Amino acid sequence: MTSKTIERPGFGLITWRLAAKDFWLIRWPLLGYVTLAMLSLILISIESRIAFHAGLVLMVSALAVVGAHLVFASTLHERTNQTLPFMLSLPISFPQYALSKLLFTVGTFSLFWLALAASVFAVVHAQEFLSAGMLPYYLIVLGYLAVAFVLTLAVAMMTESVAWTIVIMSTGNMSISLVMITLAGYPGITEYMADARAVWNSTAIGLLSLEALLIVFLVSLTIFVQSRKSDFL
Amino acid sequence: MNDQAAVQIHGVNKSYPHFSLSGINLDVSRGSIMGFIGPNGAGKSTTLRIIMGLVRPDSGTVSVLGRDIPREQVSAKWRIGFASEDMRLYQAATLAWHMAFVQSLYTDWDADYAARLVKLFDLRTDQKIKGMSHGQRVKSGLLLILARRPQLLILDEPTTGLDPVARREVLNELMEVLADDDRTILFSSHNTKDVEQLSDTITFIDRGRIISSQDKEVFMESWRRIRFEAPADFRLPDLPGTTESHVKGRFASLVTCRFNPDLTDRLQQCGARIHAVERLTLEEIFVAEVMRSREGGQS
Repeated sequence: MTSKTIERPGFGLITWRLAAKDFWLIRWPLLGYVTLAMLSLILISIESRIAFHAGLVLMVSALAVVGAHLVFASTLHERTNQTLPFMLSLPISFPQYALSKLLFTVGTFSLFWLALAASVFAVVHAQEFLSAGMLPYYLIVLGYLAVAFVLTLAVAMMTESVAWTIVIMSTGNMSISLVMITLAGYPGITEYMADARAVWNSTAIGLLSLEALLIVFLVSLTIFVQSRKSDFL
Repeated sequence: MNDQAAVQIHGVNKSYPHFSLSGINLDVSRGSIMGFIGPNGAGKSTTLRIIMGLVRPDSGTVSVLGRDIPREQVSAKWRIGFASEDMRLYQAATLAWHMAFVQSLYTDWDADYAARLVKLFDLRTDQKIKGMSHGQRVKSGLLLILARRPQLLILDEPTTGLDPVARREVLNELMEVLADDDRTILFSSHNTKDVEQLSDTITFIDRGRIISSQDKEVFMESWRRIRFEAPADFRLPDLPGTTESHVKGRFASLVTCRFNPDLTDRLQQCGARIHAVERLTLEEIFVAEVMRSREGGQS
């Protein structure tokens, strides 16, 4: 047997290349969502309460659609389009494959989320007709969108079922209005919404912390379940 | 553990609700070409996936190129090229993109060989996969594997769905790959002609069990159909290895899996006049082995 020493790319580099591959494959739809997000930012920047709220609705929609596209294109389509055997024939382990999926989907969604959340902060502080007291409310709603996305992703990766993913995604998206209405009347949030400055009381911090914990838990659970899978095809 | 074996499987079992692999034992020597033949649903793909570490067996041991599978599957997969009938490339990407992607992972990618295969397979690297015919897709998949120069090729139904020309191109290239004595190929098929052409060892699998595994020449030399004319009072003697016999009037035939010249001598001693001793095709041998296994008669 001839044996020559060959430099192999390491775990981190391969994982990164897998994530970059996913990005490249859906770069054009992502560009479309970036355009949609920019449009929502333009709307919320206009000095008009109606334009601001129309922009917020567009922003929430853009986030929901980005999340759905990421989940389907990056995870479920790999199986339904039968590209999974190709990927798993490469020198990667399934946990590594799963990690690359998490890295790409959560990373891309986070970029969108952070950009939009930062823009809301900036606009609310810049516009006099908007009360900064709304910021905790906006952030909790955006946080809920992030939780709904991670939950959908976790279900998609763990069950690999299109049907279950659609059920969870639809439930998550439909419940946003309910969350917004409930939160608007929630003690500890509602009283400060008209204030000139944001009030980060224990209720707001508690809800945001709960959302952050849920995200960490769901991502950890997904990694745990994926690392214990024994059959991949 | 046999160091000369590229693949060693011992006592592997895997159960699904409606199918199970039972007691699979398989040795594939380094440098050999094993054809893995079985009917649809026999367990060929499951066995190959177990070898790749993509399915974990319930029990038993698997070693591939000296690596314990599935524990060391990543290490083994650096030197394995795997293609299956249900494997697809990314529809929206070009062949060139796939080549660059695989090359970015495999530092030992042979760019010159890849370019030669592009020409040989009559492919266009700037063409998107979704615009390719089935044959072009299969050849693209093989190109991505072969250009990595793997030591072990595992091909699950590589020629299924190919037109005769594409099948010939693929088989010819596989024949060329075989010129490297150190390379091992394990490929499944239900096309016995392909297997007969390429393999030096053949394994039959049916209903989740290996029913026979031998050198191809041993198979081909062991099986014969003997046609003879029998007298009216002829009684077929008890001949070991007889898998089927037919008598129609004066004319009779039998199929044996343990042919040797003594058989015809014994028939002649019983009054038979031998008309022909015919070789069986691999397909006939395969069908006979499956039927024999299903009837439970290991004569």
